[in-house]
Amino acid sequence: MPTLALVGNPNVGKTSMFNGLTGLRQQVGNWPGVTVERKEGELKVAGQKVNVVDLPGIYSLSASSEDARVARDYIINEKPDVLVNVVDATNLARNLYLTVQLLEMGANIVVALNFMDELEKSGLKVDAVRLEKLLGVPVVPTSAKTKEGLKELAKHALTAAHCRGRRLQPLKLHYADGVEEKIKELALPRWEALKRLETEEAGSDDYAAAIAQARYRFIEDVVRQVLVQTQDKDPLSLTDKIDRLVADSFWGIPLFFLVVWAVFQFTFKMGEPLVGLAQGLCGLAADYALRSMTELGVPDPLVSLVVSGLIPGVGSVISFTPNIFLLFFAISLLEDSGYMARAAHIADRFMSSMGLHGKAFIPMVLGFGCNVPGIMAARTLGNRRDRIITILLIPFMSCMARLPIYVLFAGTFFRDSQSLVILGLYALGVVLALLMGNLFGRLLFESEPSYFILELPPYRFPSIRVSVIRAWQKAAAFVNKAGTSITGAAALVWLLSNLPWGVPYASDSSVLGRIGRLIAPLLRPAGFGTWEAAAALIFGSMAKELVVSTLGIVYRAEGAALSQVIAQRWTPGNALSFMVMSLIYMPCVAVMATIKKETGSWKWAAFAAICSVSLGWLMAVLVFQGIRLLGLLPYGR
Amino acid sequence: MWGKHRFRRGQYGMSPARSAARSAHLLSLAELRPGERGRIVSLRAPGPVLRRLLEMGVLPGTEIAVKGVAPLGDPMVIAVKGYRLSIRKYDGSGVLVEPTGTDRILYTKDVSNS
Ligand SMILES: Nc1nc2c(ncn2[C@@H]2O[C@H](COP(=O)(O)OP(=O)(O)O)[C@@H](O)[C@H]2O)c(=O)[nH]1
Repeated sequence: MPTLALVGNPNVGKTSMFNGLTGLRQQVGNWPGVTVERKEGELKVAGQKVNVVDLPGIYSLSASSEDARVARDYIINEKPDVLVNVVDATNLARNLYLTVQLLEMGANIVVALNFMDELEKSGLKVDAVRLEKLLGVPVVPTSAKTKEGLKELAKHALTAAHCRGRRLQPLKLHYADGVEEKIKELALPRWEALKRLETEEAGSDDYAAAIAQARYRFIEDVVRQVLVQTQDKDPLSLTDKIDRLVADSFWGIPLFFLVVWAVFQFTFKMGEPLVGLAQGLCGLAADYALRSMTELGVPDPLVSLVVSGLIPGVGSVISFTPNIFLLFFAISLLEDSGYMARAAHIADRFMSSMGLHGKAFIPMVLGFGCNVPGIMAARTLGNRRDRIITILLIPFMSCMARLPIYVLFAGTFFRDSQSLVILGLYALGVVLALLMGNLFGRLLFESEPSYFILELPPYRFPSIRVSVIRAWQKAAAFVNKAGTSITGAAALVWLLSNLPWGVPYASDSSVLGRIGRLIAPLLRPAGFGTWEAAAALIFGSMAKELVVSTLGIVYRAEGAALSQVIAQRWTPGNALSFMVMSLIYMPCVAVMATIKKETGSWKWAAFAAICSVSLGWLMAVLVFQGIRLLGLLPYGR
Repeated sequence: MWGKHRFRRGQYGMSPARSAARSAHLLSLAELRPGERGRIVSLRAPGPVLRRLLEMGVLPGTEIAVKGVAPLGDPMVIAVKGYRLSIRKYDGSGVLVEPTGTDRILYTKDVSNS
């Protein structure tokens, strides 16, 4: 089966094209070992099946980004039969830069000249026939939105794929003398020599500049011959008008906060009933399983494993999906409308003080709802450095699942200043994120400078259909990739609480209780060195909601009664340090699984765990010992 | 809040040749104001930033125009090669520009300019 790969700049309609070509027969995953998304699908044309691969959106092949490397390696090593280069006709010059690089490689390409429907409206005209002649490869006008030209494109691509044996004559540009000499010296195929000069040779900065200049000179020559302006107005005048208000004036700030607030509400408030529904269904499933398995005479431990181990595990996976779906629907609308880039533009001044990229703002805010969708939203960051730092910082944003812990402890001990204490905890998280962001940037990514150079695409009406498809894919990928680890962890904790067989669930004689006892001395400096606290924290690393419910189980009390027990057994001092610990100490299993999924390796998940456990412990100890030494609060009994 | 002088120094170290060039009325991109346009004369930035600028078409000979500045004073929006780019002043401080005028009707067709 021949393989067709889609390649092009970001925002050129590649996804729409991919969906249009493959329908919904597609799979979403990651490129091995990296944070870049990989999509594959199938296209049927003239009775033949074609494998379609979507490459990451890139501006050139010579950048050092992960995206560029993935695309480059794929084209060079896996040699797809044909490359469809999607080009935004309304932004021809910059789009052709990648095209020129592909032509220089002698890649077998077909150019899809997309956004033809918008071209005329913006007062431009492109002579596709002329362009075809100048580039020496097929150029097919398309509109991925209306699906015009896609059949034609598929046909051309298939024809080109069949002529694969015919070696394409690589495009040969004339470079500055210094570059040409060097190319001769290297005695490599021309494009390889160029790649070496651009990226590896000593003095490659100067070569890179000279090479880029020559390429753009060629491009402008081409553009001059094929692009005609039919109206005497700037095609982007409307976008500029909107931007004067939205991106470049004071009014941009309130609008920005309004949008961020709306996305947050949409994701979490609209998700609430759906999450409730999902949980209700799991309850029903558990009841049903319990009844039918007892009837069938299934042994008790097995029934318990299914009913209180596996089903709640699956339930927690499912309860994340409505939020992820809604979030990505919203993000997709924002991206396609062009506002996402403006939001990053506005937030960047503030985020850069943390050593972060402007695009990190929205994922971090979402982290206050739930870290999982926040981390997934970090996908929108193009640069590996920024993406990973953002992912590592999101767990410091205090998610909603941590709130009940604060409510319980602050409500018991700090009734008069409850909201102040809780606000303080949120602020502590943000401050730590700020400090750690700078630290991570310095220690881990010293060689990769942070920069902000972001295209602001024209404002456009987003397509609901495209957004639904994209959101659906994200939610499905989450269930697929993170689901197993989350369910597995649920089963493991169930096992620990029930072994050895016959002990009361999660009692101090269970394995979990014994582990709690083992850990407790380590927690003593922080003021809460009891097995109950340790067990609550262990359960909390499953899901932060479980901290309070575990305390309920081990103290055999709920609601007001639990608060009373806590008031007797705890002190204001260790309650405060326990809240600090709960804020920081460990990303829950779902977050860990998501970090693994998004960064492509357990390494970063493990790093996040170790980092946060040590930092959480340290902070809790500092808080407790500070209180003890200064005698600020009652700390012991 | 963001005095121009912060960028006047040039962030990536300035060679004597460049300081001389500056006296010939060259400005860094970060020093241009909304409405001002210019032609890029030279480019200096750390490797990855340089490559990013190049692939985005920010290179010597290219006409650019400043469209606006974000409400907090940074980054700025420029028009280049017929599209819009938001760029931190810090990252644009190594882009030397020869001012070519000030107007509000920016970018008609910079294609003919290089
Ligand atoms: N008018 C018009 N809009 C398009 C066309 N192709 C894509 N779009 C829209 O442009 C936006 C970005 O498209 P998308 O497929 O997400 O681009 P990608 O970032 O390259 O994957 C979406 O809102 C699409 O609906 C087209 O040919 N004409």
